[in-house]
Amino acid sequence: MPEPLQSIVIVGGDECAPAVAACIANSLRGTSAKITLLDDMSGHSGVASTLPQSTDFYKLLGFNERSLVTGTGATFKMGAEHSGWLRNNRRFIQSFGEHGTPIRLLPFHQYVLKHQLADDAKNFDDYSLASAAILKGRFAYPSDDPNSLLSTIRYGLQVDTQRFADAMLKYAVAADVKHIGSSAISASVQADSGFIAAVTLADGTAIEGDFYIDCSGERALLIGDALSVGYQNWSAFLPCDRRVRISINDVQDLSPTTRIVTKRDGWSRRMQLIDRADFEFFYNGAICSDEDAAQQLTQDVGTSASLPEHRQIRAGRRESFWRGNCVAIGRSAGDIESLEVSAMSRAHGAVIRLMSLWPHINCDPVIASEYNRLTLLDYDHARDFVSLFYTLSDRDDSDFWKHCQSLQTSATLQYRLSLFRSRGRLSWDADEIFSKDNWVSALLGLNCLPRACDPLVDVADPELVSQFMDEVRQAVRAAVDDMPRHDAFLKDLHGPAPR
Amino acid sequence: MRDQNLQDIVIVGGGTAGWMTAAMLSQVLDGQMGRIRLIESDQIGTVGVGEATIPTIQAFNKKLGIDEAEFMRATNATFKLGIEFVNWGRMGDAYLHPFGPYGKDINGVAFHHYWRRSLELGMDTPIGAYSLANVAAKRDRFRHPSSESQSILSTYAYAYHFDASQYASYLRQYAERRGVNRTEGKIVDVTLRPDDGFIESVQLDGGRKVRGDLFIDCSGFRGLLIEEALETGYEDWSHWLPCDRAVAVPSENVVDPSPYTRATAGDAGWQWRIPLQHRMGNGHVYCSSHLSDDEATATALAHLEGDAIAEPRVLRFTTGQRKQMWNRNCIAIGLSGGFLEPLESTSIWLIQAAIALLLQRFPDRNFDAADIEDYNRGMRRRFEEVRDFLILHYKATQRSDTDFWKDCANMSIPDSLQRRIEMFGKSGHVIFHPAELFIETNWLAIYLGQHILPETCDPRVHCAGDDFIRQRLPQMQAVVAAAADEMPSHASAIEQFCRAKAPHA
Ligand SMILES: Cc1cc2nc3c(=O)[nH]c(=O)nc-3n(C[C@H](O)[C@H](O)[C@H](O)COP(=O)(O)OP(=O)(O)OC[C@H]3O[C@@H](n4cnc5c(N)ncnc54)[C@H](O)[C@@H]3O)c2cc1C
Repeated sequence: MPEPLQSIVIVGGDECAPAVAACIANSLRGTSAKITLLDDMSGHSGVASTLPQSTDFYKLLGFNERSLVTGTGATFKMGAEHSGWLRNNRRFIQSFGEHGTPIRLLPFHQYVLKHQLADDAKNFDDYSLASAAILKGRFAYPSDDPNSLLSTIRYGLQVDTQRFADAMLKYAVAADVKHIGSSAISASVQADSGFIAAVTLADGTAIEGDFYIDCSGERALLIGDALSVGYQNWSAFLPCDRRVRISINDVQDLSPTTRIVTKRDGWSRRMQLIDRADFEFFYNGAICSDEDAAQQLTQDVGTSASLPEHRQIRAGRRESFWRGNCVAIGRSAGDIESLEVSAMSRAHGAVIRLMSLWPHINCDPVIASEYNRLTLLDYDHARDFVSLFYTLSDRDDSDFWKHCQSLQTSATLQYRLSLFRSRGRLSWDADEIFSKDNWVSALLGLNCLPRACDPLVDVADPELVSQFMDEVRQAVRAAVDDMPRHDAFLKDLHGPAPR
Repeated sequence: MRDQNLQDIVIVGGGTAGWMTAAMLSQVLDGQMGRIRLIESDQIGTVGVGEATIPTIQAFNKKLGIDEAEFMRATNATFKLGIEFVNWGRMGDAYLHPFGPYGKDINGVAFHHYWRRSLELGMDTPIGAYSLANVAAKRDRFRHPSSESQSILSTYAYAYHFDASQYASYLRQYAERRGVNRTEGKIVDVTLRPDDGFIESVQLDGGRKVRGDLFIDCSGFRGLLIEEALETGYEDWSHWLPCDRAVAVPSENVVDPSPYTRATAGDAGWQWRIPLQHRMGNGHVYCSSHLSDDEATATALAHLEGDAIAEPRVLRFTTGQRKQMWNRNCIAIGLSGGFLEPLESTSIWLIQAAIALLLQRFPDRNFDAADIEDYNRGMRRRFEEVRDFLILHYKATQRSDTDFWKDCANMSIPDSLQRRIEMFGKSGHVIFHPAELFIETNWLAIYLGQHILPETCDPRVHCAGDDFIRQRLPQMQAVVAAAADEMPSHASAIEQFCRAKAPHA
């Protein structure tokens, strides 16, 4: 029987590193494995949002989500509001909730489509409690009671990445992770096995382990520099390769949502934390200069903003994520512009997967190949989801949007689109990160109307269906008014004297 | 769009596939979309086998709103908690593939990893002892599972053994009550539309023509429409699953029916034993290049426990699937779509899956290519999954007593299966997709039952410590055993719940 791993080294730099350390430490609690995190804890500043799936991650950690929220100034998020993707400047909501319920086994959106195709503009958003909550600035925890509309909502968080990383570090250290506050600068490889032998710190100290996690961010110190695993470039699918961020001390608008607006040279998003708001602008560096980008962003925001902070986005992913005794998680593994495809949740999902496939000291390649197969799907799904927006956008009013018109659509996305365009049916696999409703609300929001709806909608009595749809809409309206305001909810959570 | 809706749906064939399709379509379409007609020929008859099912059948019956006790009485049904496999991994082996998990996850790590560790600690309880379905089945016990998720009685599912012809007649009554029009007659000709090759009509013996918008081919192995008329083509999988014949022979019951199917491996194939209320279904699936029909029949007869009640009947088949299950305006459901031997009782499930997918990709008269492609893709995935699961039973053998088994052990297998086996052997991790029919327990049952023991367990079992394992596993085993002992016998469960009125109906 092969030996268990005894010493795990996490090479930090990426904001996900402390969370990765915390999760591994928690899963191996009680064993003799030693875990070391190399991270100077600088450069984690920023904002991030998570998808509802991250709840599983906190659970796995035994992490109390409430103290995570109060301890890091996070806010809740029930989805995103989009505007400007189409020339007609239509707005839509992409909520984490369900929309209506199936009628006679057919998905609810088919009945909405039937009306839309008949030019009776029924709005998909009207049938989702989460969407209504976003519009009205409300929040409540989902209910377990399937009869309650509150069971149809889900949520993620908007977090300050530095504070989140600090909280994870604290948790990791309490779980016996050894934290070394400096970063690795190089790594050496064993000639025969191709395994990582050691990493070296700036002061020359060598740290050895038998398993390495490369959370070094875009530097990709191990998976890229040391192991030379190739990187698949996705600039043919995704246009943005730069991002600029500014913060303002605004606590005015605490709705549980991320706001996404397109601009002449890209798109921006606003994320509200408990004590500030962050604005980010995603653009293409060949079309728009950094100064220009910062200006397009500050224009909306007004004064008293922080200095703009730029970063590069290398759209793409590694050819593989696990090679030998090294697994890449975070931006060393791949990078996709953050259009609602949370890199943080992807990292959380990656550690959960890694733990479920946790290897022995020999790091059997069969396990690595299964990990790679599954992780690759995650990245490809995320790419397709972002690419959907550019594929369906009809804007061509600037060099940026003209460039977007010339982008490619992957074969997998094309397949999905052609099925949807036929009869509004979704090709969807049970292990995808984005729910069916996520896909449908994006497709409908971006005005992708099928040639016809499902013929089986005609089986149900149209009167009864209309009546039922009205009832759902009214129930949503009534239920949203019973939900607390998001700001009040947060205030309660923080207690009488917030932080 | 309404004017494009289907007006005439024609189902060709009145076997299990035809009547299941007719029943479900009549239920879902509710008289609101076209006429449903089913054509069957008394002269040709049905294949007449297909008696063992898996738990998914319950969802089908439930959707139809069928009363369970009534249906069981009408079909002489018994309960089924799993399948016992005898002589597969080695001569003398017996293991059960139960309809319920082994043990319970501990700290997010699957139970079988702890069990694997227990072997190293010198414990030797077989994994089956931790599955209530397994233990209850072997003790001939049954009761309905509980819906209380905390109860151990919620840890198993069940299926049925039933008389296939009686099930078909039961569904026929159901469908006819809901307006399905049954036509008796033999189809002698099929007319295709000259412009696009779609089926326009079928012609009955005597000259009558029946036209339709959608034709569902449930005509059995021959594939009257999908193959004989449309020449769709067939993908042959017999290099992986070489059995190509079966001989079926029912016999008198001499013991109370047990709540599981048995599949006993022979020299060049295997024999089934399916206990119904009124008789025992028996048969022998074999490979004709290793065994003659006479030898196979003799073996089947020699193993009967009671007297035969009909002449043995030989059936021929080629394992594989139609290249497209849906071609133009014709969908092949049942044996016309493909055949995978009944080792895991999956054929009726494949019928059910085809009907469900048809309802999700239901056409109108435009017959959109994207919907058809997606249907075919979906059905291929389901067939291939079952195929791989079946191949595993033949591949994972240490038998070398006949050429047949030597060939099986040495055959090359699909990459998808190779990956699963290697992964499990190396790490104990079971690869499966959440949308698949067979999930962790199902694969585990076959791997472990046929001696694919992982080299190691999940390293996270060490978090709990060995003492924990020494204590906890015997406790879990005791809870399972006690729960099984409290159940009534299978015979009395049938007596109480669903005894058929005329046992020899
Ligand atoms: C040996 C064996 C054992 C099996 N065991 C199991 C099992 O345990 N569990 C399981 O789930 N499945 C099992 N199956 C599979 C199962 O029997 C079939 O899936 C099921 O019976 C469906 O058959 P069918 O309706 O497609 O075809 P059939 O039963 O062959 O029906 C064909 C129909 O088409 C009609 N027809 C054909 N030609 C014409 C024509 N020219 N004109 C008019 N009508 C026509 C016939 O009249 C008949 O009604 C087994 C199969 C075999 C061969």
